[in-house]
Amino acid sequence: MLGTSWAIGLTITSLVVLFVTLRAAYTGVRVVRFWDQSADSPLQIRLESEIWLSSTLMEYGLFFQLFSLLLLVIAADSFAAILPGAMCATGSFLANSYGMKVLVLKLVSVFFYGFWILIHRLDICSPHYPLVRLKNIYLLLLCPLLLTDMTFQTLYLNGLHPDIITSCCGVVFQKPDVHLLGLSQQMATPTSIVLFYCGCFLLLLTGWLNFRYSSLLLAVGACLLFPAGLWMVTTFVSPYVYAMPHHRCPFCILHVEYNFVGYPLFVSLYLASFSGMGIGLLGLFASYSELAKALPRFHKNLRSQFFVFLLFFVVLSLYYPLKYLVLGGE
Amino acid sequence: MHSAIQQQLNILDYGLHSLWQKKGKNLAVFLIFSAVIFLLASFQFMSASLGKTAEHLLKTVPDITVQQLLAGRQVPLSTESVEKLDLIFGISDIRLRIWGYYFDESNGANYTVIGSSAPATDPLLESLLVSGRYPTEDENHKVVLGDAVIQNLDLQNRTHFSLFRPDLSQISLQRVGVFQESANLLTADLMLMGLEDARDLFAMQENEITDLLISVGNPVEISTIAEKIANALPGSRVITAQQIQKTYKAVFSFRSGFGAACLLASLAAFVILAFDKALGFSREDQQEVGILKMLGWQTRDIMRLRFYESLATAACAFGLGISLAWIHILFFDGILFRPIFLGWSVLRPTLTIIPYIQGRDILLLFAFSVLPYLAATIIPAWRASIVRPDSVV
Repeated sequence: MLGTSWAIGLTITSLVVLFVTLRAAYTGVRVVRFWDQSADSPLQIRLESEIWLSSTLMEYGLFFQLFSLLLLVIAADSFAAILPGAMCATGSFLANSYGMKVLVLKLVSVFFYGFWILIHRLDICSPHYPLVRLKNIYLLLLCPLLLTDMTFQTLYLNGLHPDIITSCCGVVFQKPDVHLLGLSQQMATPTSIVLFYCGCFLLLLTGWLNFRYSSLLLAVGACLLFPAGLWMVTTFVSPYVYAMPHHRCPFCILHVEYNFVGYPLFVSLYLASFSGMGIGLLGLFASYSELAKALPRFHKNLRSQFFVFLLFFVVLSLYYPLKYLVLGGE
Repeated sequence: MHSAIQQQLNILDYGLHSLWQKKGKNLAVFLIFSAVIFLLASFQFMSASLGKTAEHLLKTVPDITVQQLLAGRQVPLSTESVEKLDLIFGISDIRLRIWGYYFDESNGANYTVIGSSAPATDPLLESLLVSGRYPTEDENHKVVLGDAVIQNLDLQNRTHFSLFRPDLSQISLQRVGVFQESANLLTADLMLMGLEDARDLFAMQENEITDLLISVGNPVEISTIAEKIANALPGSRVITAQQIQKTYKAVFSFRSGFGAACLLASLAAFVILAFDKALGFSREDQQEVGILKMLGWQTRDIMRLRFYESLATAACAFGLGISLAWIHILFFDGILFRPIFLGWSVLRPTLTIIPYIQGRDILLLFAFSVLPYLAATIIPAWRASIVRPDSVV
């Protein structure tokens, strides 16, 4: 189905992301090879102005990649209207083996873009650009990820045939023998729900109190928070949103019928996880004396972001189950 | 934090002001960009609207349609097969139908002929008539006609007309009703008559029909019952209403994709134009950047300024293009692209499409147009911003 307008839109977006990243990588290669802070050669002067280009390109790249992720989810949802048997985006993603891979790759790459921009913002706080070489090596490592993303996306779109019968979310989330990354094989048990929300509470507490190993704890917690949060939304929160115990789907909550509640849920979960992981990332640069002034400021900002977004996620995700418990079913 | 926002607002203010001053220079880019977005958006809206129209009309399609195949080709089905289906629980109604095409040699048109066992009793079909009624079961030689058929037969106010049987003897028919225009996607070329009349017109055998139309009481059971029917009638083709709907959507989706692919060339040309235009900054532009830098602006501030300028141009062009496309669909029925979507046969359906717009279509159009444009202006913006003040002022 490479010929549909959604597929063309996705391909154009990916090409744009690839273009900006490869152009930034071109600068990156030269920075890694020739950067010399003490020199005043024409090349060094040129590179010093070019790093502004590459950082702007990467900021655009993050925005475009976020857009591409959104487009992929919405495209999968509209493919469901064409693929026989698929009822929503889940059916479309499972229509061939590349669907879920593309989704995961895009999610991961959005995190990596975000980290790059965090490092860049930190770097430009010092006039000596202490992280310039490091961030450009990082940039070069992003390129294979994006190329894989683009390849898988093309394979996914190419492998969609409107005549394949695919399983819909109702079937997928009921049958234990269908694997969706091992996420949704079973319903959340009371134990796992209590465990998850206790974990969130502890993370909130850690974010609030600043003790010795709190940064490390936050970083590890945030790494677990993202997959656990996705799983919890799918298996525990979504049935309450749909008011149907057997309907467990992470994509239908993005629809207008459910007031687009999925967007604030996923965005707050993403931002909380990103901030938490970012705190861990900052810990790696503690030894740079040039950044000694900027680091505490970044640290404080990320901590407050982490706290606010996680609190928002916890409150919003508990709203529907609590509403059901207090007011009863629809 | 507050001062950072204020700084951005100031840059935006300056950017909009300088854009307005250079409006003559930006007009060409703006107009061409609007035109490209208009074309893309018209295609997308047309496809969505036609999908919606089809969805609306296909509500009248029976839950399951059964046909007989022999060597991969459709052949007549015997009325005896109804008895075999009577044993399947869950079927609430079975109707017989003859569906064929009548070629009118006088004007080269093909009419769709449907002979139905009981059109008058179908509550869904009722809503499709603009005037008259359906023939009842015991009436002969009464038909309901679509718009285009009436025009092609040049009937005007006459109600009686004749058609030829295969042996060239004539069969006389009387028009008792007319289909409404909004259903023209399905009914423009349609003649609906009793089962006996259709059999007579096509000279078919006494117990022959072309399809069975089956209604199912519980919609959840449709696929199970479809499977049982396929087992009960070997060699039959069983089609569900949902499959037909998906097929229609797939067809429109592919056509809009085809249109988008054709317009990619114009999009690429536009992006190159925008890149080239942004690259060719004049002596005055360089001086402006030089003065700004002397006043303390950084490279990143000037890049941000250029970004706001591109964003403002793109947003205005996007708004204009989308609005024009919407007017094109709403008031002109998508006149530019109708032949591509609806075909160009002798009986072209003069259909009133239901205008339909979705947020996701806007998002897709944004990906098609604004993203490539923004990406194309980054490098020129950077080139313009690294001018050294001492070299130009």
